[in-house]
Amino acid sequence: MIEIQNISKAYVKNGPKAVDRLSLKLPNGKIFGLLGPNGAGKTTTLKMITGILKPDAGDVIINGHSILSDDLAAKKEFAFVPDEPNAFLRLKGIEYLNFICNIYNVPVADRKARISRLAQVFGLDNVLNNQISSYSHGMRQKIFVIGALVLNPPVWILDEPMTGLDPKSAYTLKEMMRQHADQGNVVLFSTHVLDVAEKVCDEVIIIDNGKVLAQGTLEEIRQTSSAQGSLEDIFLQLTEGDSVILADEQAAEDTDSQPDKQD
Amino acid sequence: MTSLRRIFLLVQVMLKGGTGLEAGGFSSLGRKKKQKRKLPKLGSILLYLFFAAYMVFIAIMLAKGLAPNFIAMGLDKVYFELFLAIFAMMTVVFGFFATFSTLAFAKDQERLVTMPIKRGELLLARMCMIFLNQCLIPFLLGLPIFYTYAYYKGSAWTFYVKVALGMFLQTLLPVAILVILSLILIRVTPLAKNRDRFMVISQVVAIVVIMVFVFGGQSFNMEMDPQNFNTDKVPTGIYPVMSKMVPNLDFLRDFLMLEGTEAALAFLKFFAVAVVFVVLAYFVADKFYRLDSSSGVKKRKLEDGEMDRALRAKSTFSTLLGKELKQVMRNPTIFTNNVLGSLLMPVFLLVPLIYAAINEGGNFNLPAIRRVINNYFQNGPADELGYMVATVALAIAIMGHFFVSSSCLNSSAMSREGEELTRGMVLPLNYLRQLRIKSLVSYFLATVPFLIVMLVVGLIIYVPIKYLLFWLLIYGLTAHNANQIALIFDVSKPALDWENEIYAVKGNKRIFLNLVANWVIAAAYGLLIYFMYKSDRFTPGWTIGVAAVLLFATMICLHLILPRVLQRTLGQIERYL
Repeated sequence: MIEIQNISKAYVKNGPKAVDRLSLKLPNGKIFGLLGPNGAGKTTTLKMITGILKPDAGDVIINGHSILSDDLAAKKEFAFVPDEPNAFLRLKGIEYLNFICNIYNVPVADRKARISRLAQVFGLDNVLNNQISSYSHGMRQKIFVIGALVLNPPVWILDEPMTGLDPKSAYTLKEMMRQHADQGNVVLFSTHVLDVAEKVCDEVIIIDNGKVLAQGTLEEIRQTSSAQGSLEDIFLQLTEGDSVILADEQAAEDTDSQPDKQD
Repeated sequence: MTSLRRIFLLVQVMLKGGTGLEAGGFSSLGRKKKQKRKLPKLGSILLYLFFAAYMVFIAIMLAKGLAPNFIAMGLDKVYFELFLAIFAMMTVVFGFFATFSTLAFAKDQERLVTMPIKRGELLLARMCMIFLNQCLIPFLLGLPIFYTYAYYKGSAWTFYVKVALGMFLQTLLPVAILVILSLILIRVTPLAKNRDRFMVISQVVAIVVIMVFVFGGQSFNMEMDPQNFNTDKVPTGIYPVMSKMVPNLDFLRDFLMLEGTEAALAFLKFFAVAVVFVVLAYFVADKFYRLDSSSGVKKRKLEDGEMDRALRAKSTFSTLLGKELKQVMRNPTIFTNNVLGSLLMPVFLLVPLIYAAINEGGNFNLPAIRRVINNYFQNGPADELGYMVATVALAIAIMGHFFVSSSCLNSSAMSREGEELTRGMVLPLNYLRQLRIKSLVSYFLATVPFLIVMLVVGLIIYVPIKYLLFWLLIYGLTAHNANQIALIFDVSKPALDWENEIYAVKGNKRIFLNLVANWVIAAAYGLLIYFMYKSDRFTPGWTIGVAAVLLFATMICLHLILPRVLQRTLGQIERYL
């Protein structure tokens, strides 16, 4: 379980807040999608949950461990896949995976079985002996996804994990996320692809300007907010609000005011 | 839009953003976002000016020693040919790697290829960049060398103008030749297939060439007094070789040495030959310039045995150490800037020593030297021995701070991680511990080669083992402190927002501050040597005691400072990402 307790973050002292008193409870057994426009605070939130950024206020509790006061124990509870896969470029794929397994003390027998299976599933089994620098963007994304999944931690935190993945790998990852959640674990991922979020997530969290605009299942969000329609409609209505309505009205006016061509 | 206009636009863009090379372009390279620095450009400009002034000073000192002698002996032509040949050689040797890298590995290639630009136009734009890069040093060195000559010769003002023009344009033809050569090599050899390997090879060759220059320069012993001037040592053989490789070198020489219409004609020939080769390069590019630099990934499934070997369980310490070693050794930027020098240093220090010991025969009697040293240590006056041991120990401490601070890995321990730092921060592992293990690699590489040199020298000349071990210990501890200082400066303000890692490892304020801090401490040891010889109070034993207190106090302070600085930095890491 992830419990986010009133976290805030401003990049500039006394400046606008990237995340503003955000509180969430993410229980086990579900997949949560973190959605928001660019600059909404998604990545900042994920970085605070994973301990990269220190919140100006608040705390994050992961399976009972505070990321601030008990960070090492908290970090053993999750695996994180960042949005940029450009790291450890000088290591070979297999070296990176072994490095991660050694840090997290994954038993040797387990790591071999998991790596072999995951590498085959994600189509990297014939490039593990190459340096990550020689991988394409999608391959790099895959190796870091494998690096997270091989640990099999209770919590998965992924920042736009589908970016660069081919359709088969994206499908596989979604299936794995589903299985992981069904086993009583929690998956939190951010995405811009609303279709994926709509199909995969048990609940979505829509944030903008560092605040939660809506949280829950689609049906719950429809009931609690004025937004209706598909997730895309809801998202746009919540995040763009009046500007979307005005744009639609303007488009309608423009159509009405155009002279009839038959005249 | 005309070709020339397109080329001009490309050059403008390349000047602003660099060519994507490790150290190409004139602008600040590889920063993702502009940091709020108060006087960024002024600082860089001042630094460049400082180095330029230093080079000019060295050139003037050299010319002051040589020009009067050459003039007095009527060897003006030799003077011109010598330096023109040296500049041509510098351009050819160092320019080759820069040229090949620019043409084969420029990161903006893929973007430019999709634009409606002819290969020849792209080539000419890149050649402009290469020329502007390569002409700088011969220009900076050539001007003082020939202006000093002009001063002693009493040359007319026209000579000064000719030198400025000639020194600016002298690299044009060598660059064009190198471009043609590189285009052919890129097409017909596998050199362009592996950028990392090429970068390492080029740096190794560059260092070897520099060392050859240095050793060659040392043997080039010129007396100030014309009576004792030794022309036998002038390497006159270079010019004939270089004038064949750079066909317009004779015309440049004549342009500088002659007057009136003869000089003008020589200049026209000099320039025309260069232009011919530039045009040739344009047409060769159209046929040969391979713009696709990608190479496929080799695919091979790991066998069971390989998998088992690769997936061995290791301690956290070994894991982190191994990871750091691999990343350092496999990264050509870091390897060539911070590691190669340390690895080659024993070779460059020991080989000449051993060579001198073997080849000077009766003039260098190693057994006799050993007897003298042995006798001194066994039977020499105790107080003199004490002064000697203490002086050597303090000198070694000074050397430790100098050597380590100039190229140690720890000066970019955190910076060179860049975005990778965040990966380390999410691991269930104290980041301070990660950093300390990481810094061991730096310590190892900064310390072991020098220790090997000291040990070998000490053993060759039979220094008693107890003194040798004492001096080795001093160096080891000093190197540790120097490494820690570098680490603290880097951690206090890491440069993480780079796209090109050369920005993380080279040339910026924190590295400069690290140097200054180390030199201040080295100066403190130097002061101790001074007081030891000047003050009766500072006996060798007392001096070593003070030095030991300084050394250990520094060590303790550094160990206490690092965690605090790290905590502060990690607490506001967003400022640096």
